[in-house]
Amino acid sequence: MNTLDVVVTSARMLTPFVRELTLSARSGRLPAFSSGSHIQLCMHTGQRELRNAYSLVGDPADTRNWRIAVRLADRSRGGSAFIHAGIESGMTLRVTPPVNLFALHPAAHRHVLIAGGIGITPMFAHVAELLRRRADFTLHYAYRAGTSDAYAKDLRERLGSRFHGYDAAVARFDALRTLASQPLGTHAYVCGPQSLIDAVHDAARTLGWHARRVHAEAFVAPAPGVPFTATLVRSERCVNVAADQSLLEALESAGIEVPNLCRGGVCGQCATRHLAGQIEHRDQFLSDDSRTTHLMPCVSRARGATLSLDL
Amino acid sequence: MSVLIKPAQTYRGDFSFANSAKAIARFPFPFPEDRYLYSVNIEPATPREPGSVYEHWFDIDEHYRSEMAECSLVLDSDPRRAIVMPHMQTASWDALELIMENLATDYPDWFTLEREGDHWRWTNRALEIEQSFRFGDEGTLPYSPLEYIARQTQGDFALLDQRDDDLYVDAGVVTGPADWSLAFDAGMSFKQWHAPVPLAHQMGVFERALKYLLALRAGAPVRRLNWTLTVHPRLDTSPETYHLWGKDRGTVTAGNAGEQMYLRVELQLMARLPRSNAVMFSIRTYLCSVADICTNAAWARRLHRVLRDLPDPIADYKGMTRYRTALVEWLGQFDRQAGGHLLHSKPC
Amino acid sequence: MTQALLQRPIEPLHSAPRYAELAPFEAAHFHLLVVQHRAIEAAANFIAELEKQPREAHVLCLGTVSPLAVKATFCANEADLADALLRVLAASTAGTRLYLAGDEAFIWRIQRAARNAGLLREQIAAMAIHGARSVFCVHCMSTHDYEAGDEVTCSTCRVRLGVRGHFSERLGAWLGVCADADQPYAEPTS
Repeated sequence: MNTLDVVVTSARMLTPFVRELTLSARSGRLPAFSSGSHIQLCMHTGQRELRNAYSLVGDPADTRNWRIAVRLADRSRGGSAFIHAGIESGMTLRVTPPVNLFALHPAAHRHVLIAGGIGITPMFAHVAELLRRRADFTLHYAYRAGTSDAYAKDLRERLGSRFHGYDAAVARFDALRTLASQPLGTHAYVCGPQSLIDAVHDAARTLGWHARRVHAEAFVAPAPGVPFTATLVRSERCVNVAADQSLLEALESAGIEVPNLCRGGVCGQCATRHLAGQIEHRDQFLSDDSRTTHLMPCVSRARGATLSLDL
Repeated sequence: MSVLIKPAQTYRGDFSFANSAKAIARFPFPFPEDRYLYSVNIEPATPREPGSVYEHWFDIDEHYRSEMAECSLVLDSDPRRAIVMPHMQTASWDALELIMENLATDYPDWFTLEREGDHWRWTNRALEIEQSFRFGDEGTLPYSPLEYIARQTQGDFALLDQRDDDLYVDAGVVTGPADWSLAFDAGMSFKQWHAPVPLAHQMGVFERALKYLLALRAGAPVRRLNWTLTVHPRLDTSPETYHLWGKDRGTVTAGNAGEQMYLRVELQLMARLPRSNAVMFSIRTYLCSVADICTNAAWARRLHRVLRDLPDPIADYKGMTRYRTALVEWLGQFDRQAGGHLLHSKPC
Repeated sequence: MTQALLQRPIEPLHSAPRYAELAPFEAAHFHLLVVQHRAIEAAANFIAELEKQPREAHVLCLGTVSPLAVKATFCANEADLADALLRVLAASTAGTRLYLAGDEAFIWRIQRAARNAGLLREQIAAMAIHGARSVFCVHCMSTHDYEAGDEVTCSTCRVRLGVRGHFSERLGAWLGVCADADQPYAEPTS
C-alpha cells in the first residue's frame, strides 16, 4: 500500500481530551480529497506498529493543509496516547492517501448531519463542502461541554440556525423527532458512538425510511483480547498477535500487506480465508455463511491459542 | 524519450490510417491463450516495459494528431457524445487534473503544465494549444473540463459516480465507441451499462468487477483489455452512426479479409478521482489490420484459433456474424500445422 | 438475407425492468398509488389492501371518475396528474412509498418525476399492464411511445429501428437501432 510523508506543522488542544494536528506535505502537494475521507496514520509505539484511521477535518478545497482531531481514548491501545503525547510540531509522519467510505449523496435534497462527540470530525469537512455547494443542510451535534465539544463554537457562529447543539448536561438529541420533520428527499449522515448510530437507524426504520437514506460511519477501534498465534499456511510462517494488537496489525508488522480501508470491520476489504482454529468474529460485514470461511483480521481474533490463514 | 507524432490520417472516408512497424510491434495483442474466455482480468496499472502501451497511464502514440482530428469531427457534428450531469462537475475537473499532470510528466516534449494556486497554464505543442485558466472555474475554459481534456487525449472517457454501493455512468466523452451509446447509457448502474454483454453476467464477472472497483484507491489505478473487430480502421463505430458503417460488414470476403478487417483492442484504465470520489474509465483504442497482425506468426495462429472457436453468442455480440466465416478462412493460411483442430469437438 | 441481420427476438437483458404484483409496504408512513384508469381493474386487489393499512393512503388516477375505497384524486390529463403528484410529494415525508400501475411508458414517466422530487428507486414499486412502451431512437435521439413489436419506425426520423433488449431507466425506454444497415428506411411489411 502506498504511503506518503507529511509534516506536523502545528498541534493544539481543542478540549482537554481532543488534540488537533495540522499536516502539510513534506514535498510536492497533498493529494486532493472528498469530504468524509479518512487517512491512516502509521505509528510506532514501543516495538509495535499501529495504524489508526482518522477523518480529515479540513475543507477539501484547502490543498496545503490537512487537519485531524483525535480524542484521547479511555482505554487507548497506544494510538491516541501517542498522538497526544508522542507527536510534536516538526515531526514527519507516514500516512496513507485519503479514502472515502462516508461520502455525501448526490441526490439528497437535504443533508441532515448528526454527530456525537469526536464524530464531528468528518462532518466538519462535509459542512465546508455543503456551504460551497449552497446545499440545504442542518447539523445536529451531541457533545459534552468542555470535553467533547470540539469546533462547537465555530460551527454555531458560522451556521446559525442550521446548527443544533445538544450539551449532554442539559439536552438530549432525539433522533425520532429530528428525522420525523424532514422532507421527502432527505438523507441523514451519522458519526459517533454506536448508541447514536443505532438510535438514528431505529428512528429511520420507525418512520418508514429506506435504509439507503441513512449513511453511518463508526469509529471502531479493534478491541483487545487474548494473545494468539496465526499460522500462515501458504507462506509457512507464524505470526504472534499480542493482546492489544489486531491480527491485521500483527500481519503488517511482519511485513504482510492485506488490502484494507476502514480498520474497523465494516468495509469488507481485508476479508481473509481461515483454514483452522476457532474464530471470534467481531466485524459488521460478513454474513454467517461467509464467516465459516472468512474473517476480518482488522477486528476479529482467534478464540483459542491459534488459527490458520490462507496467506 | 519523445514520441513521434505523424501528421493527421483519417479514420473514415478514404481511411488513410496506417500503422508503422513500431506501432504494430507495440500493439496490445489481447489473447494469452488459444481460446477466449471472459474473466475479471483486472490488474494494477503498474508501468511496464518502456515504449510499450503499458508504460504510461495515458498513452500517446504516432496517431495522436489523427485521433484528435477525428474526435473534433465527431464532437462538432454530434455534441451529445459529451455528457456531464450537473453533479459530475467536480469529477470533470478531477479528470482534467489527472490527465494534464500525467501528460506533462510523461511527455514533457509535447505537454507542459504550470500551476500557481488555481491559476493554471497548459501547453500542448502537438496541437499548438496554449490555455490559461482558473482551476474550478468553468467559464475560463472553452468546454467542460472533461470535454476540454478529452479533445486532447487519445481514447474515450466515462466518469462513474460512486453511490449506493454502485457506480453510475453519469459523465463521459465517447467519440470512438465499440457499438455503445453514451446518450442512451448515461445514468445507468454498472451492471445495467454492461447488460448487453452475453454470458458474463451469469458468470458473476460484473459482480466481482464492481466490488473491486468500489475499493479503488487514488494513485493506484487498474487496467484490463477488451477486444472486438472492425471493418476498416473506423474509430466511430457508434450505434448513432450504425446506418453509415453497418453495411461494411457485408463487404468482407475470404480474399480481402486480411486488409479490410481490423483487430480493435481497448486498453481500459480505471482510476479513483480524489475530489469527487468518482471512478474514471479511460478506454484507449488500438486498431491494427488483421494482415499486419499476421506479420507476427504466433499472433496469426492464435487469432485464427480464437475466432474459429469463439462461442456464437460472443461472436454475435461483437458483431462478426456476417463475416466470421470469411475471416476465419483467410486466417487459416497461418495455421496449417497439426494440432490446429477444434479441441472441444473431440469426444472425451 | 436481411432476416439474418436482425437482432434475435428481444430477450430482456440485465437492464430490463422487472415488474411485480403490488403489495403494501407495511412500515410506510404514507402510501401513494398513481394509476392509469385502465389499470384500475388490475390494481383492484391492491387498492383493497391499501384501504386496510393503518397509515394514510392516497390514489392519483389518470382518467375518469369512479368511486374507490381509498381517498382518490382524478386527473383529466397527464399534465394535471404530474402537478398533483408533485403537490402530494412536497407535503409528504421520507417514509412515503409510491406504487405505480399502468403501461410501461406511463410508469417510467411518473417514476422520473418522483425520483426528481426526492424518492429513492427502492421506494417505488410498479406493475405494468399491456400497452405502449417507449423506444429511444439512437440516430435522432428522440423517444416515442409505440405498440409492442421487435421493429418500429421512428416517429421523428423515419428510420426503421430494431428494438433491442437494453433498457434505460432514465429515459424509461428501450434502445432502438437501425434494423438493417443496408436499407435504413425500409417500409414495414405489415
